[in-house]
Amino acid sequence: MPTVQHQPLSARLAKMAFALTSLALIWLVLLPALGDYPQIRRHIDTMQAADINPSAMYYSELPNLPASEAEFRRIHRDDPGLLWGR
Amino acid sequence: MSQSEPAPSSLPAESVQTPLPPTQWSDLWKLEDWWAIWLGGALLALGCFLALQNRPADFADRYAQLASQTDSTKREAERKALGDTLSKPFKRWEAKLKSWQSNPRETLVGTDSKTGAPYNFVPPITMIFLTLLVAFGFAAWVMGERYIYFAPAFAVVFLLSVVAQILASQEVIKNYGLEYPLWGLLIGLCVTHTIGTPRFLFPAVRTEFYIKTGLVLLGAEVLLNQLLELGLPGICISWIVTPIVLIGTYWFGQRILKIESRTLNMVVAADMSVCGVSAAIATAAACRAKKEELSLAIGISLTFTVVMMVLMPEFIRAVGLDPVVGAAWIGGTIDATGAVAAAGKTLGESALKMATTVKMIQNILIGVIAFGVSVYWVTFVERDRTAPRVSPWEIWYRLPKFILGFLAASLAFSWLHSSVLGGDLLAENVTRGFTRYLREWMFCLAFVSIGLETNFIELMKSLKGGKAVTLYVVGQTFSLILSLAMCWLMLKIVFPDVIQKLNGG
Repeated sequence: MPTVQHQPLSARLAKMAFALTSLALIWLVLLPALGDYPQIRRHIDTMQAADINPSAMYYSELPNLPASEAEFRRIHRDDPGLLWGR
Repeated sequence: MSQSEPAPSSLPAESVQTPLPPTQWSDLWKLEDWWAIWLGGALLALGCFLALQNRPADFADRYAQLASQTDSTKREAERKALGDTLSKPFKRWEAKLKSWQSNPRETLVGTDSKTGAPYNFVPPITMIFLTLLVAFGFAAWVMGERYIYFAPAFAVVFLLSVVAQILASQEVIKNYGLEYPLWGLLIGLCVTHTIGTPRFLFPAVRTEFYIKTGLVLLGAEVLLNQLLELGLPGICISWIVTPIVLIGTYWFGQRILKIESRTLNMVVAADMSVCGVSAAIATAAACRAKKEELSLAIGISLTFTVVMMVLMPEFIRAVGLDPVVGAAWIGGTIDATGAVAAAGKTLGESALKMATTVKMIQNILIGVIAFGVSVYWVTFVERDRTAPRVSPWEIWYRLPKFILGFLAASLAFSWLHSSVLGGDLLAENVTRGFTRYLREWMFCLAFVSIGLETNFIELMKSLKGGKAVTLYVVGQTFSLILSLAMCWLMLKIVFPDVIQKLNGG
C-alpha cells in the first residue's frame, strides 16, 4: 500500500486538488473538444443513431441484440437446415 | 482473485499459493464465496418472482400463439410486448445511464434527444444502492462485520462508483468502448494516491465479494442453448478457434516468454481470446489472480480494443472482404462485446447482426472457460507436488466455491430458456432488465475497491519487461489469422447461403 497517509495533510490535499483539476480538465475540456472533431463526431453520431453501446461488457448489455436474435430466429424458422449443413 | 478469508475487514492477502484450511460447515455462512452464491441466487430468485407476479393471466396462450404467427415482424413485436409485461417491475432498477458531451449532469437527469422524453436515473441508482446495501450489508454482518461501520463505508464506495460511471458515460469515452472498470480503477487510485484510502472505508472495500457475486449473476446470462443460434458456423468460429487461441497463447506465455506469473498469463490469454473485461474478471476469480494482474490485463485489452475497433472495419473495406465474413472475423477477435457491435455497424446492418451474434456465442464460452480454469488450477497449478495425485477432497478444498453458483445459475437459466413454456422471455427479461444492472454496479464497486487498495507502483511492476503486452500482441495476431481462416472457410466455402440469407435473400 502507498504510504501517503504518513505525509502532511496539506500535501495530501494539494495532491487531491491536482488530481481533481486534472480530471476536470480532461473530462470537461479536452474530451468535449475531442468530441467535436469531425471524424470522432461522425462515429459518435452513427453509434447513437443506431442505438449501439460500444462500452457494453457482455452481450446482454447490447441494446440492438434483440434485432440480431430475431434475424437468426427467422433464418432458423424459414430454413431449419441452412445453418447445420442439412 | 486472492483467496477468500472469513470476514476480512482489512486488505485481503494477495498470495495465490497459501494452503487452505479444510472445509467446514460454518464456511457456508462465513466465507464470501458461499455468500456470493446465496446473494446471487436470492437476487435471481427475486427477479423471477417479480416477473412472474406481473405475468398477465393469458401469458401462456399469447406465448403459444407466437408460434403460429407467420409474419416475423408481427411475431417479434408481440414477443417484445409479452416480454415487456414481465420486465415492468424492473423499471425501478433500470439505470440506463445516458452519455454526455460537456455537462456530466446529463448522464443522470435530462431530456432524451431522440424522443424528447424526460429522464431521471437518480431513483433507479438509489434503488440499486439500497438493494446492494441490504444484500452486502446483511452478508457482511453475518460474516462478523459491524453494520454500523459497513453502511457508511459502502455509501462512500458506491458514491465513488457513481463518479466512475459518470466518467465512463462521457460520449467520447463511451463510444470508443472504454468501459467503466478502467474509470472505477482510476477513481480508486486517485483517492489512494492523494489523500490515502481512509481506514473507515475498508469494511466496504471487498473486491472479491463484489466480483464473485457479480459473476454468479453473470452466470444467469450465460445461456448455453444460445450457442446454437448461428448453427455450425458459429460453433466453429467461436467454440473451436477461441479455445485453441486461449491454450496456444497460454502455452506461448509459459514456454516462450516464460512469464513468471501463471495467473497473469492466464488472465491476459482469456481476456484476449474470449470476451475482454468480463472474461478477465471471471478467469481472474477462477485462478485467484492478483488484483494488479486483472487491472493490467483489462488496461491492455481496452487499449487494443479501441485500436482494433477503428482499424478492422477500415482494413476489411480496403481489402474488399465480404462485410458479413469481416463481421464474423470482428466478432471472433475484438475483445470487448460493445466494440464488436460498434465495428460491425460500420460495415452495415447484416454485418452488425453477424458480429454481435458471433460475439454472443463467444461470450457464452466464458462459463466453460471459468470452470475449466478453476479445475485446471486446483488440479495442476496449485496441487501438492509431493503427492502422487490430487485427491478429490483437495480439489474440493481449493475450488473457488462461487464457481458452483456461477455454473448453477447458467444451467438453471439455460434450462429455463430452452425447456419451459415462455421461459426464454422470463430468463431474458430477468437478466437483461434486472440482474444485469446489479451486476454492472457490483463490478464497478469491485474496480473502485481495487483502486482503493492498489499501489500504482505494484501495478507497474506487473508490466515490467512488457511481457504481458508481447503476450497480448502475439496471441491476438494468432487469433486474427486463425479466425479469418475459419470465417472464410465457414461462410464462403461451407455455408455460402448464410450471407445471402442474412442480406435478405
